[in-house]
Amino acid sequence: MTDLLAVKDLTVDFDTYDGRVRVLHQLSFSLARGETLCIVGESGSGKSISALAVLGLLPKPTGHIAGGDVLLDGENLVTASDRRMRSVRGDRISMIFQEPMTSLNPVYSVGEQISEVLRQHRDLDRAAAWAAAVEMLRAVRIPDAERRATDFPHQFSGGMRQRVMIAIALACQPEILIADEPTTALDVTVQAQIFDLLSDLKGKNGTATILITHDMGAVGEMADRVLVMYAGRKVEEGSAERVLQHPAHPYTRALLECRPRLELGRLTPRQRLTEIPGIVPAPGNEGAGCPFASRCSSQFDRCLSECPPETIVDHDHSVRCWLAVEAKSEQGALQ
Amino acid sequence: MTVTSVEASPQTAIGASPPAEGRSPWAEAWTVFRRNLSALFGLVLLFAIVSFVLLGPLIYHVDPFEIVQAPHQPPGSEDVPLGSDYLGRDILAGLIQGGRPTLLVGGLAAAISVLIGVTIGAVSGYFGGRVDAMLGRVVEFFQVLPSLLFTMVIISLFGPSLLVVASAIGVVAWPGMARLTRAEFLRISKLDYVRSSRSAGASHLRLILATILPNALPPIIVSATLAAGSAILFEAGLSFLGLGDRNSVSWGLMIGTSRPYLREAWWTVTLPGTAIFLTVLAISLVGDGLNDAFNPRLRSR
Repeated sequence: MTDLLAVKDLTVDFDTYDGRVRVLHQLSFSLARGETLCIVGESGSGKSISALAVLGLLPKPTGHIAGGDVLLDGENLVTASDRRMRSVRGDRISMIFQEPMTSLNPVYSVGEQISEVLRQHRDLDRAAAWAAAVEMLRAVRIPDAERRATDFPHQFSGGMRQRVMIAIALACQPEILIADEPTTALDVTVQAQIFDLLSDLKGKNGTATILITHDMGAVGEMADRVLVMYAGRKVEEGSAERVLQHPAHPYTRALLECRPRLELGRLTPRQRLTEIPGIVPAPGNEGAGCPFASRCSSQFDRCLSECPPETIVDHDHSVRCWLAVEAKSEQGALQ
Repeated sequence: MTVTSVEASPQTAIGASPPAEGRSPWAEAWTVFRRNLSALFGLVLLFAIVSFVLLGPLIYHVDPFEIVQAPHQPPGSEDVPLGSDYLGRDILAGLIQGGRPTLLVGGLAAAISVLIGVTIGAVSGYFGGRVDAMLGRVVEFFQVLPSLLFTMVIISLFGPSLLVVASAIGVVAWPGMARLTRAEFLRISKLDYVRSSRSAGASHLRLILATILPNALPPIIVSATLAAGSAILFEAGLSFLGLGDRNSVSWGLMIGTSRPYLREAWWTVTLPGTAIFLTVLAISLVGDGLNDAFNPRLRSR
């Protein structure tokens, strides 16, 4: 099966006052039709940057793609013209952002904003686009869609606005939806509704989804595959089941331990949430070894001096960690 | 609810006042404007002046250049309700006929400066970087030119016709508009909804005209009204110096030509002066009202 989207060795640099800094290191991943890939990692790990790089929306003029390819159905988007990229955005790949409160244009009604995308990519007249927009509002379960289409963004709550954003993103039935922390700014109950809605619509349209999040609960619920990022690098990738059940990288394990747990019978009052000590190193300051080494509980000498290579630990499960390399070589020695 | 408490907790402000259904920000601005007494007064006054100027010639058929009475007849004299000037021409006819070029120059000059300023400011603020730096130099070049001298040069080069005078004023007035527009575009083009519009495949032109410009308009409109007011004053100043269009009466020209006789016949200068004052006042009040109407901080009242 050919992949719908294949990202190969994608490398992104940013110009800062201290010179050029690498924020994304040779990221590779692929996405099959209808699949949901979750990209997880702390703030500053390069999740959003990789999404923006795929769409060619890196902040100008500071961000550059320094190398690598983004192949959509075999077409390289990195070298595509501006014009070509505009016809891809919103039509074949669309994106929803973190902040529903500010992501809608305050001077247009939501119906107009949905029709705008439709008219841009489809040959529709005003009336047909409006009808399709109302239909989209209905699809994202906004009650009384016909009347609400004439309302302006400030008349919607945060959750409702995110539904509108989803309606805009899915209006042209894209093959890929990139959702960049779509629920971070919302209440917990609304978060659940939005995730339900996303997986529902995904099932209907067969849209492949890249979900960027740091909510491990959402990963368990939504993901087919998981990609864990740290300091601009992929540290672990695999099927959701494998990664969540048998995390191979100490960082993934630590992330999973940070989840609040509600296990019946084991509720100890005042049990503190686990945290990962330290912070993500600033881009350009990762040092020679594994970037996670300074915060890792199982680090040893080699971690500080050399960056570990990508190691396949199981079918469709790879990791960048010296522990995995050593375990594998021991295995080889035993055989 | 006071303004400060709203600013401290924007959440409550959003939750506490559910707005009426389907109202655009423009409709809301109009509601605020309607409640503003001085702005309404300005609007009514402006409407009255414009209809005086447009409808006046249909009712009062006197040629402002024709000598109809003895010189310097005070207001209330026979045939000249508002008096006559140093040549015995009718002041009322002058006010009626002179209003049109005055308003036209004001409006045209403001339109020209908006057109140039908004275009340059929008391109500069949207694209940023090298384009911005280059256009910034152009703006600065025009900003440091002494405006009166520059208009005088343009008028003496191209002749004092109405269009030239309006263009000259517009050409010296646009840098302020460009800076304002650039600042708005810089601010707005970084906002999330522009980013999401871009991620939906909008082109540069579409982002500039349909996404950012409507959001940048309020301060531009306010500044355009005020520019119209100052353009009228500027035109009056040029006419006073004898640089206006000699073939049509304007309020500034009337003041300028009657200047030596101020002590003998006060009405020859004061009446057109009052007309200019009232017009600029009306425009400023409307501009001020628009400013309040578009300013979200005052909206909660």
